[in-house]
Amino acid sequence: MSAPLAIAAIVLVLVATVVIGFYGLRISRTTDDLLVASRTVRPWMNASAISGEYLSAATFLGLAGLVLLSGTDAFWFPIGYTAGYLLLLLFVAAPLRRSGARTIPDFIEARLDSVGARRVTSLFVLIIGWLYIVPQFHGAAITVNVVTGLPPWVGSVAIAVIVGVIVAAGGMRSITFVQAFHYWLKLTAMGVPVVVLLLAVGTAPAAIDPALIFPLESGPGGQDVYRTVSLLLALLLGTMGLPHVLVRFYTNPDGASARRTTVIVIVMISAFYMLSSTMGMIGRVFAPDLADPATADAVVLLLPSRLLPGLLGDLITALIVAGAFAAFLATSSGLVVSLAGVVSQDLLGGSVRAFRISAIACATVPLLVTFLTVPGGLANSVGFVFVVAASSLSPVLLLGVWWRGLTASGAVAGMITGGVAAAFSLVVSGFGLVQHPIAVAAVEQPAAWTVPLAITTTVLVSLAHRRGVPARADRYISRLHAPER
Amino acid sequence: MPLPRRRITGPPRRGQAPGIRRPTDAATPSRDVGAIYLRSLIRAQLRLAVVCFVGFALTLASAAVMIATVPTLHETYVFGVPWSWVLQAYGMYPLILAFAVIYARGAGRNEQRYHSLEGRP
Repeated sequence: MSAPLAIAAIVLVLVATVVIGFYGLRISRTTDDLLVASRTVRPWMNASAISGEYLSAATFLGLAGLVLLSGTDAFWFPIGYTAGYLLLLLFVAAPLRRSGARTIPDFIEARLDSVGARRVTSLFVLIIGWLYIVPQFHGAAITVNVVTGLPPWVGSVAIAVIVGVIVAAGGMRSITFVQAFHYWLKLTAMGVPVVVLLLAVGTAPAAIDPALIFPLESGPGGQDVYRTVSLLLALLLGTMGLPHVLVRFYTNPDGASARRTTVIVIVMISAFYMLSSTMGMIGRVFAPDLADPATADAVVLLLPSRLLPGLLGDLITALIVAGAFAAFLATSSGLVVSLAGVVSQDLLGGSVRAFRISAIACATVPLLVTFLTVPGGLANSVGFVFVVAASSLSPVLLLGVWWRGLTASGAVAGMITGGVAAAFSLVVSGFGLVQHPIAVAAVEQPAAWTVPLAITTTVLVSLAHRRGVPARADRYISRLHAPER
Repeated sequence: MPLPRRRITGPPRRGQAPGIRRPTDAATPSRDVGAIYLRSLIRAQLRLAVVCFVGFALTLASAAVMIATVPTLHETYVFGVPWSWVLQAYGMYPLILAFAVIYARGAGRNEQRYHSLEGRP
């Protein structure tokens, strides 16, 4: 593998990102005075940007790795990520656009008329965001280590510094166009290699035994029903609770175009996931030796040079590296922007200087966590973030949009109960504190019980404090659902 | 000691209760009617969303069960890959998209109906 080519690819992506960010088509998505400009964002452009931000290291590297490692179980991850947008479309896309809120804490404060509920929401946004950035940094560490041979920490530090500096400088803050560019780069960086590899292996005489490569027990017949259902619930509900997703819907001119945008997002991310799944299956055929938790995430990076010796393999690898870096950059900078907004508004008074300090802090904290944790499979660690989001923020969002009886105390109680239950499951399964197979499944895929627990708590506490229903609840809900003229 | 009530009060007044016209009805017709239209729009949107979600969940579940249990899907191959793997890897996305399009169209229609009702004098 050629390190100079890979490094050149990384540098090229960075330069392109910064150049498009500073000099390209500027379309604001954060400042109210540029709202008129954001009304010009067409659904296709907006959908590219949403998809560009959404496709992270977990799908770019992790999905193929998981297909290699565990078989068809892995396909549920992208199915869940995509169906998460269906749920978002069905229940919250248009109403949240009409709410005028740019972040989840903004929405909760306006809806429940409570600063306390806002603070708790902000805390969860922060935790979820940090947890979600960590796998991105792990992905950067793996990529740099595999393609250049440098120690893994170089990759995480590099991406943290770049993201922190770009966001603090304002380079990524207001640009829909950069995220859109990242989507098309990622699609190319996965699509071209898949096509080239398929052409290459199509001509190569591969003596393979399908029953060995695609065994029955790793196929759909070998899946555990409880785990699959619980995972799907987490992924479906978790999507709407991710901090960087909602802000993107704000750039839509109205509720109807928010729905159109979501439909296009589903098309765009599906296309990418199909390519990435294909890469996983190619990996099962040609790189079964990588099927180990420590190496599986690198399969996308290593496949091209194995199948295509020489310059072509190096070029394809460089393209994949470029796509992978676009994934780390897009997702982590989107998250750092959202988190820095929350931190600077809630803790530091909301000035531009506060935003910059927050941006650096929001890139540093997950970097420290990255050093303290061992990469344990990118797809799975992102799966846990979805569990936390689905058990804390998503129930409150759903009820906030559809149920006028929601109160601030109910929302706070529900978020804390769900969040604590999810964290408890992580600790118990992480330290292996339970042995019984049912208990192990319940803590490894906890969404099936943490989500109902959070919803029930929210509803019961709200009903117990009926007087806490904000006076404007009816009016606010009407506004969420009334179509624009 | 107290006299039975019916001796004091008059005969039941039939036909009054349902026919009563509230003064607000005449005073602000458009706002009241508008609120009713909006409430029915919210109900229609929620019904549509729940129906789409339940439909999607049932379709996905039956597709998954079929892929997992029909033995021929695992024994026949396409480009060296079992059909069950291929369907699981690519087959679910069209389902998601189909329900998304059905919902987006339906929601748009609900809003159109609301507009045409509200626009009426």
